Amino acid sequence: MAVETLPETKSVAEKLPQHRLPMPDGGFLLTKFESLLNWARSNSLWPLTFGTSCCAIEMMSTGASRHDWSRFGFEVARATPRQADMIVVAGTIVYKMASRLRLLYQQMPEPKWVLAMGACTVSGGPFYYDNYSVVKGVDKVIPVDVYLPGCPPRPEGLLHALMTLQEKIRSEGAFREPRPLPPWPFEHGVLDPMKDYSGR
Amino acid sequence: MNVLAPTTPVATPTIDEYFVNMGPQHPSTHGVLRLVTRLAGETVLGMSPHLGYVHRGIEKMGEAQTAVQFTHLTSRLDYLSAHMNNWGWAMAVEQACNIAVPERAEYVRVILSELTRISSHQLWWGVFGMDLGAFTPFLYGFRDREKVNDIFEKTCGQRLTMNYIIPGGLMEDVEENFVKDTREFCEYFKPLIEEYERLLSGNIIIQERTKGVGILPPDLAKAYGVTGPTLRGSGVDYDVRKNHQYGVYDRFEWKTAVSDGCDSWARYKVRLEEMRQSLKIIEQALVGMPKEGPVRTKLPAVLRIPPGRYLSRCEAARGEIAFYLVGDGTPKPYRVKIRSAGFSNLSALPHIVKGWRVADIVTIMSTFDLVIPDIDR
Amino acid sequence: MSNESSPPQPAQPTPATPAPAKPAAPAAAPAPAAPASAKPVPPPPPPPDPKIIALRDELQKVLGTGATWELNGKLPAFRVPAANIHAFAQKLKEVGFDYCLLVTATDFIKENRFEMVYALTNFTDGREVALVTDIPRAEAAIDTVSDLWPTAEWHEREVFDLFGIKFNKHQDLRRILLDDTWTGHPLRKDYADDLHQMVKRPY
Ligand code: SF4
Repeated sequence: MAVETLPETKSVAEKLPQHRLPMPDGGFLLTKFESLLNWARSNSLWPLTFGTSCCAIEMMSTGASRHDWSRFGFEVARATPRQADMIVVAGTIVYKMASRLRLLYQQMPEPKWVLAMGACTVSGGPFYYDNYSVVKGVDKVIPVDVYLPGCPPRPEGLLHALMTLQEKIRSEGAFREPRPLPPWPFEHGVLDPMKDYSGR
Repeated sequence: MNVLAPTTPVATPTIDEYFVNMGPQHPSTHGVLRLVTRLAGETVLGMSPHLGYVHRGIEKMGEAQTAVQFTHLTSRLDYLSAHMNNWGWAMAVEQACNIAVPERAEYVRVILSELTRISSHQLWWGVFGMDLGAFTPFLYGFRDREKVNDIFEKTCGQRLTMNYIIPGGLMEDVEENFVKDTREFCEYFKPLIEEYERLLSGNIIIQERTKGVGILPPDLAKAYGVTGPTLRGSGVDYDVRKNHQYGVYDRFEWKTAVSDGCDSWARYKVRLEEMRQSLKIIEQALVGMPKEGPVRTKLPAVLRIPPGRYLSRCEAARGEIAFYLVGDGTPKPYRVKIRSAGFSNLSALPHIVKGWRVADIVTIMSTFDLVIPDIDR
Repeated sequence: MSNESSPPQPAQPTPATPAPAKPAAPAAAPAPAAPASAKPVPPPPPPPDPKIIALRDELQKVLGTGATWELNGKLPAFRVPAANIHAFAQKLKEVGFDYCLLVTATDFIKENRFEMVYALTNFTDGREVALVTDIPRAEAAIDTVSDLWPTAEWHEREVFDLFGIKFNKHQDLRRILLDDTWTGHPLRKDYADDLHQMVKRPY
């Protein structure tokens, strides 16, 4: 074929026109609506910048010069949940933060996905034993789609997890049912404004 | 002192006073810190930090593990100065159990700590630019930070939470190319500090937003136990490496970076100068480092901490980190208290943001360089 | 006269008490008692550092007889009565200890006391000394030193939060790290917590 006769030194851009063949019998393409929608969804995920501790630095590294997650369509990190459709829980979640995390999750528009980054968010990780304040797994607070172990995971690991999430999104239906929230197991975080807590 | 309390005795805030919550989820708090600010229009009348959104109970965990096991938790405190935290803890245990550290290990500790300081300041520089609205420094800072991370990764296999400096020395000897790589990095990075200066320091917006903003008088800083570059930006020449000498820092020729501007600009300049001084220390340490030799003292299989009180102090990238250790003759510490730099630094913040605008809070906080898990522990 | 009959009685408990002997000697002279009861061989006592001796002599003059020198471990310390903590702290501040490094407590539950520690140093030569004092666990309260070193304000709030020690005259004594709704004080040794699923390490 024509492509093979081209010398290898040519750049990809120069090769490209050779591949562009006119579509026989008119110009349309058949696909499922689902696939198209999910293809679009999966390739422009807007993550919420939610980093509580060490793993957040690796998330920043993933976004920065060397690893550059925008190659895969994640670069539009949002600081507000209302504009985000994916939350990378990067770092330890403690009981005091859990209710806020849940609130952030509830504020995100559907469809939304959650990536639990780091051992802390998977199971409590290094803070599992003898610890009174760390939530032992973020899936006790919000539903999780992809778990990424590591303490902290390398940026390559985060990229792999994000691509796994993309695959998961592509395999979903077009109209995604909202995932149920896990039952709220803690009495913390909700303060009664009429009560005086100062003596405790 | 309740800084949110109205200065004039009014029962309810007047109509144009209101409270704004910054955080816990806020892009400029560098983590999960909640600042309740009391504003009139855009002017800050008072601020009250609420901590504890990543309080991980590390001190309690320390009572349930042996002293050597606890090392890995210390690198998760202030993860940007993980080596220094490990060192601080190692010093506490070494002091308690009378452990001598081999000379080569002391040099490697210095080199790694100074590299950590550089990488921490690189990250701070990038994020500082981002806080003030410039995205490019972020990319530049991380570009150079990855080079330091490469050295760390080759040395100890981790990029962030190292657990490499342990009581008695180092976990393993450094790999063979360590000296060469570090030297190359110094050569590479020295001109880049000038580039940093050109890129950000010369920028008129940066100067306008930092010069004269957030005055931290030396008296206030001392009273609130502020340490590190934040204190040195207020003209107090205090550095644990000099004033409470540890390791082999006394063998090198270097100056503490001090500036008496007391404002955000001074704190910015101090950190840039510190990177230069760290490079200086590294270069001297690379020359003086013994080529061969053990890097680890053999510890007894069960390391018991003798009864008593021990205190170790160490200069991390953000200031003084101190470990207070109480032993009771068992391998597990009876009590561990971590005095982190950020905790005290943050306690001065409410007093210096008064009268500034909301946007200046971001500047001032950024030059304080807070790491929240360090504050909350 | 009762002296003759009483010695046999204490003589019997004494050999049996080495283990609980430690709690009985929290005061100034635990040095002979502690090594006798501790089974692991203690390292030979290091020769006293002349600098520390000088510090002791200097500060003993400043603090007066109310404070007892106590070098237990490596941190030079003075033990003072809890009621006068503010006065002693002020004396140390006046002789140049202008930097309060940390304020913390330790829960000695067997001896039914909290030990408050104030580690003090300065911004020039880095000398360090600690003030230690005991307060009973039952109604744990002590005067604040946050008027001397404002940095102690937050440290004391932390001690209040994690140990439940009250600080008299503190301006703003609230929990600092945990939620206001939290019950209990986690750094106490007898803290038990079912609500937060605290898992004990099995080894
Ligand atoms: S998993 Fe490890 S690196 Fe990540 S937040 Fe937890 S302790 Fe930090």
